[in-house]
Amino acid sequence: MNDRRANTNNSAPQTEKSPGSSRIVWRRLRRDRLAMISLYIIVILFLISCLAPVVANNKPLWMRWNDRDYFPAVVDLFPLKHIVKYRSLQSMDFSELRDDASVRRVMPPVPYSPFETNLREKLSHPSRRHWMGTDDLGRDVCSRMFHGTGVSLKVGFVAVGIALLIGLLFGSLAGYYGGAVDIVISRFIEIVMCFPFFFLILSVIAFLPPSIYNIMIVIGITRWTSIARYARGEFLKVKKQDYTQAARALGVSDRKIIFRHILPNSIAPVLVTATFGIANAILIEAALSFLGMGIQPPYASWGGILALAREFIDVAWWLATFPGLAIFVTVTAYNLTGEGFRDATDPRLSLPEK
Amino acid sequence: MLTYTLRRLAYLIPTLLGITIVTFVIISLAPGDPVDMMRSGVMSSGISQESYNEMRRLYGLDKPIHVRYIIWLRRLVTFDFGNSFLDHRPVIKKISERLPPTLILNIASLFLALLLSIPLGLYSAVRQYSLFDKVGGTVLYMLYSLPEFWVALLLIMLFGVKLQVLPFIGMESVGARDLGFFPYLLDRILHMILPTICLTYGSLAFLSRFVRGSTLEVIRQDYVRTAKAKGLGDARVVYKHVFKNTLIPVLTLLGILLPTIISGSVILEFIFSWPGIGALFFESVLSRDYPTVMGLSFITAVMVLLSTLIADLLCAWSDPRITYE
Amino acid sequence: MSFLKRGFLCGLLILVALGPLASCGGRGNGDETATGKQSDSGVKPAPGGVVFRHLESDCKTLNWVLSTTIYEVYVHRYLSDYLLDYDQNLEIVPVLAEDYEISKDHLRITVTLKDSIFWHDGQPITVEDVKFTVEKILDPSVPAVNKEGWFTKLDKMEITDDRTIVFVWKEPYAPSLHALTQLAPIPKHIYGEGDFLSHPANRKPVGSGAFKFEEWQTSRYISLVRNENYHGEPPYLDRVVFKIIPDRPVALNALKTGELDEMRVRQPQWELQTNDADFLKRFNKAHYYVPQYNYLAWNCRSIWFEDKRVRRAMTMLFDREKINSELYSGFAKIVTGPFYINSWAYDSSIEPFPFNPVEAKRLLDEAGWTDHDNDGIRDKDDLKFEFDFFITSGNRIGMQYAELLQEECGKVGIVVKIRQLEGATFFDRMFKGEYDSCALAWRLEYDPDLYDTFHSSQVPPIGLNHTFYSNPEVDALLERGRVEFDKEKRKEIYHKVHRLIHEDQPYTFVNSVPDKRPINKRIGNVVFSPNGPFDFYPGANYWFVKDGKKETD
Repeated sequence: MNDRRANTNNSAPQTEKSPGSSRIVWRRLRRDRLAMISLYIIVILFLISCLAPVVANNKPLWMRWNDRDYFPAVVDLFPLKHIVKYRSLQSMDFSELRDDASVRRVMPPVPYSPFETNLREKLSHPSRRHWMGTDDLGRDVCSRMFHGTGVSLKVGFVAVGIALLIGLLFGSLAGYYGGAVDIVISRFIEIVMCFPFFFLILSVIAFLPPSIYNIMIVIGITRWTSIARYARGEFLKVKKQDYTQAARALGVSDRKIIFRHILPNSIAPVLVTATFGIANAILIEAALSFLGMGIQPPYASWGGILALAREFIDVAWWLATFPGLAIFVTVTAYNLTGEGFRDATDPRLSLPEK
Repeated sequence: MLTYTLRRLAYLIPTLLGITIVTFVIISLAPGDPVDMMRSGVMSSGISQESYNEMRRLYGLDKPIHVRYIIWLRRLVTFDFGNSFLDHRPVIKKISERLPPTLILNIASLFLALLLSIPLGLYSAVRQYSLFDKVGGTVLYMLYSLPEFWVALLLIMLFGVKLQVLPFIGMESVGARDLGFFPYLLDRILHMILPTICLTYGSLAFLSRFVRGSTLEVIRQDYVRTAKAKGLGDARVVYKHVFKNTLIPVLTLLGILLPTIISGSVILEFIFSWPGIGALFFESVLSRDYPTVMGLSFITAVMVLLSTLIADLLCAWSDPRITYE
Repeated sequence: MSFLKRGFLCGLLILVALGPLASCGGRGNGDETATGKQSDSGVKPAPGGVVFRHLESDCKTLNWVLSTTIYEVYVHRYLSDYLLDYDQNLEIVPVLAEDYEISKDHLRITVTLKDSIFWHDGQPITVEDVKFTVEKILDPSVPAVNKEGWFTKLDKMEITDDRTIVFVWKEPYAPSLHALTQLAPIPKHIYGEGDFLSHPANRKPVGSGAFKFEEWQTSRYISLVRNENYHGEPPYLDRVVFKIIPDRPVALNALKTGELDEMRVRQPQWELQTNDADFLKRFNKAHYYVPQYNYLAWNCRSIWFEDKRVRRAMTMLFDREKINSELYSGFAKIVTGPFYINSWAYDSSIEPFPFNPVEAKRLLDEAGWTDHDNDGIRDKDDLKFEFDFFITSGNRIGMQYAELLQEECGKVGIVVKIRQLEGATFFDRMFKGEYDSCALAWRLEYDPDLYDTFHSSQVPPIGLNHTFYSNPEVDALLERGRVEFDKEKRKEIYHKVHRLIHEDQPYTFVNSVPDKRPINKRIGNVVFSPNGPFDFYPGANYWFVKDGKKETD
């Protein structure tokens, strides 16, 4: 029973051997072709977001300079920017280096940094130089797309993580203790639900300096109510089950009951909601960008590029198409994975035999 | 049942108080105040200290926050929401002007969404794992994954600009009122098409999957199996036994959807120049128009709470399994 | 008079602008003629037709005294006539006034109203109305934030007869005549009773202009009809309808489908979305320099920018030539000082600081900001040069500036942290002086008085000198400029001010960007002042529609 928690927690395939229900879930999930494809897409996106600095960068992957070997782009992958050897590169203008044939080097596939502006090439069509064209400051859209991947994924995960944390906490307390605790928490949930979503966002933005993390916090603290409600319902259900009653009769502490018995059993449906929540968070980030409250420049996000596209919709189709597609594919992938999980974790559903 | 209803009604009061207090504190403590906002929009050449203080007094900003809240509350008892700081009109008037457009649009969209998603969900459930179920589900999720402002702009470009078949600005054409009832009605309906589509397509996935899920639960119930075993046809089973029972969760769902319906969609109202409540809320928060913000959040909260209550009561009334402890 | 009076909304999508500077007696030198003037040859003006104009945001009120935004000014240009006004050549002319006379000591201005002029409801316009209006402006309980400043030096008003009123000033005040061009009377018989702020007439105004109020559907449209009893020549148009469309890309589409006849477009729209043959066939594209400039403000009290060498270095790191040529395709002019570029006060002999990172580095070194610890970031007294740059959220132009500055500063070892703040928060910081730097714009008046924005006594929270700029020499000149009536001497004073402020660089003066406005060719009689087609007398009052009806339906 306990293993299910570990399993549904990870969207990546489980490799550990666990004979229990996690195996069953995994086996069921594997049979769902759409869900599997979606899962692979998410994994690939994660890889892209991690590898963005070596895929799209104006720094070379390798270069020979002053008779020493340097790997400037690779160093960007790690928080090791202060290595002594690389200090001399600090003030180097890599965008000028690009056209300098005297330095031997290997460039990343997309040889532009997401921040590098070039007004002379603003809003240029997709071409061999700029695979996805450029934006209104002449920045390479392809590079921005790669670097924006991480933002979208991070926003989704962290925001939902926060929502999960708050939602589970309140939901489980309300569901487990019931009575006065339940009444107070339920009122609180109602209060939060009654606020128009963007009022909360605006007020948080008025208080906190806007940054990618604050955006995540905002989305997190506004999206937890449905999770809390779900968790509360599940707790109510599980609380009445025999094994919980038995544990209680045996004098097991509340904390232990909650964490060892109830939570693992009620978490599956909550996690399904969370998967959908990630999809939603990505869309919300895009909407916030539309309202000019997205992440801070010069960082790129898909939503930010898309919001920009609005201005140029009839002259720069590439600005709308690529981020639109990226959001579309990612959100669909999350939703289909969520759907797959839901089917796979539902013990009552019978799968068609093949 | 009656005590249950009364108790739920009694709960409304602390909830409402909580909402107003939280809103009041947030909006008042947010950096920037209405007088500064006024100046920032226009920046007079040398406003005197005297008029600056007088303006603050005029708006009641010279008093401490708890006093202001109590004043607001006292006025509320007589249904006086005060006057907007921005244009000095009664808040209640501003809201009553903006609420109908939002409601019209959202009710139309909700209606459309239910009309489409209930049959879709039912059929998917009955034909679980069929091609229809799979493809339909996937397509709906794909729709849901499209950012709404993007779709809105594409639709405007296509139907509004390229084909020029649908209007995309506001609720009605200027002067349409003078054309007589039916042309006017047609004009209004045409103006609603694009915003309604944008508001609806996203919720289809959610709703129809929900209907599908709850139908599946019902289908697995014993009485359905019994009915099937008795040899009743699929269609009859579905409509006689299943459909009726899935309506209960749909009712609950309505309760969840209502907050979004009433508060409106800022982005779509902005794009379609729709004079709704979302845009008003947005504008008042940005300009720190405290009375309007308070009025809006109070009225929307009341409406949301009441409608959730009604949904819950309907649910409790129609579902014998729910006990009112 | 000024085009955008002082109204300006710092809304979602427009460049943030603060108000005005102040003005009077000023006259654009007129060398900047608007392009896109149309030849109306062969088309005779005929009565009839409707013109559809664009409002990005709804008006708050149509009470002239309370109006603050540019959108309200657009509407009042048709609804309300001013006592005096600027004409097409930016000369002061009487409008509701028949004549005016200034006493030798400049303390008394005697204004005589025209005979038989009427409010839209048929009541005569009298000097009582004029006096009432000024009293309301000065009433502390009336938030006439953008008008009060003109009349604070007014001592009293004397009514000598039905048609004559004397404005008596407490002290010589150079912009006093200009102040009267900022005065559109409101009817006393309407506003005399009832609560002024929530008066029903605020939404159903009775005006004095060439068009009468007809209908206002909140957030939808405002329509005006021809005033048959106008005191000047009767206008041609049956109606002027303002449509409220907040989203600019949508508004452009509305322009293309004929739902709008004109709108202000942004650079990318101007450059890329309005150049196809069909569009050019149907629209005249006009651009004209309004009294406005964009700037980057450096808080002179912050540790980063207290040294003027640093401020100059920042200017040298900001490539204005490149911005103008590449961001605006040449549709912008570099400014070097805080005056309207078409005004006599602007000293065009001052050369802008060139883009010069080498010199900037030298200045920074000289000011003590060098990279002591070799981490690639300049520092001084163990403080890294990392400053916040504020822009309002959604301000695309501010963002472009910020990103370019960030890039150049990064190359010389300065970290710029761009912060998008929601409007109210932004201005809160501004008014409290709690910021390092920010991108803003001023809208100017024709009168070059800069007392409110650069005098050291006018610092926040009440004043508008938000960079805390202080230079005793400039203070003295600004004080003199307000009491000097001789134009040549004033010119000399303001040229000195211009040079001193340029030396000190409390702002990096960026550029003046023209208003860009396609206007449908079906409209005739579109005339331009150096300041555009609206903000002068008679402005757009005499537009007519060539075929007498709307182009498409």
